[in-house]
Amino acid sequence: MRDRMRLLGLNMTRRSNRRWVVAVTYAALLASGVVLWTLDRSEALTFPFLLLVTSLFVNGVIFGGYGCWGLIRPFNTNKPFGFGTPSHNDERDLRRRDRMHFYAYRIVVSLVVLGYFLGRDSFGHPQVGNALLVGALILGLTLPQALLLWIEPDMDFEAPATPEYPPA
Amino acid sequence: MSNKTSSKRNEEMRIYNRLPVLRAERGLTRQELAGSVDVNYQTIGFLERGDYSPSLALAFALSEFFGVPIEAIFSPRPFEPLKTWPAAGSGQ
Repeated sequence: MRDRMRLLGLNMTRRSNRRWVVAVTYAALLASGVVLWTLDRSEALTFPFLLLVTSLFVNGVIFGGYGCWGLIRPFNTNKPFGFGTPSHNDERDLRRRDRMHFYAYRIVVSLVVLGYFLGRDSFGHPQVGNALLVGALILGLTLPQALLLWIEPDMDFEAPATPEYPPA
Repeated sequence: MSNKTSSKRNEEMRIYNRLPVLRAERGLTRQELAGSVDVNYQTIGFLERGDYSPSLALAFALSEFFGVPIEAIFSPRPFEPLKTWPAAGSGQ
């Protein structure tokens, strides 16, 4: 987690606030998916592509983890994607990161398997199968961070005097 | 994933610590202590609250920083108040 846990001026040290952010974000993603799916039922890749871009935006700006901004520090231990921001994950951060990826992995794999079988001709639900596979893609990109934000307890500790990163 | 199972395990393996007392004695903020042992200040908060048990490396780093044995900082059983120690009240 970042040293300064704020998003749009809201205090994100409280777990309840973080859970609201996760719930609202996934509700928005689901709504976008339904709208895009309704508008574009062709076999074109517009629907998954737009959702993919949206997920990357969510990661980069809200959740963090695989981006430079957001509530969670970059997961890697090096500088993320060439930006000159420091990244320091201590032993607890790394342990939590790995555990959340383990949980997310099982959910994503389950969705992929389900989507694959439902998408087969013999089941007759190719659209549902495709939707589940796109859902697995979105969750694969965002679920570890969402689980981390959801599970981490309240952190009402004093924040450092100086911000961890200079404002963008 | 089960928070109940996780919290039950944490309860079973709970490690008590004197970090808040030691930190207060030295007038340190969590941020200062965290910087000294190379962790994030939130980790110090979780340690003090008993939400996280440190690795051996971190326990040794804290022990070295405070200059006291590890068992004076961490214990699997609740610490007894200092006033119950035999030397307490004798001026030693």
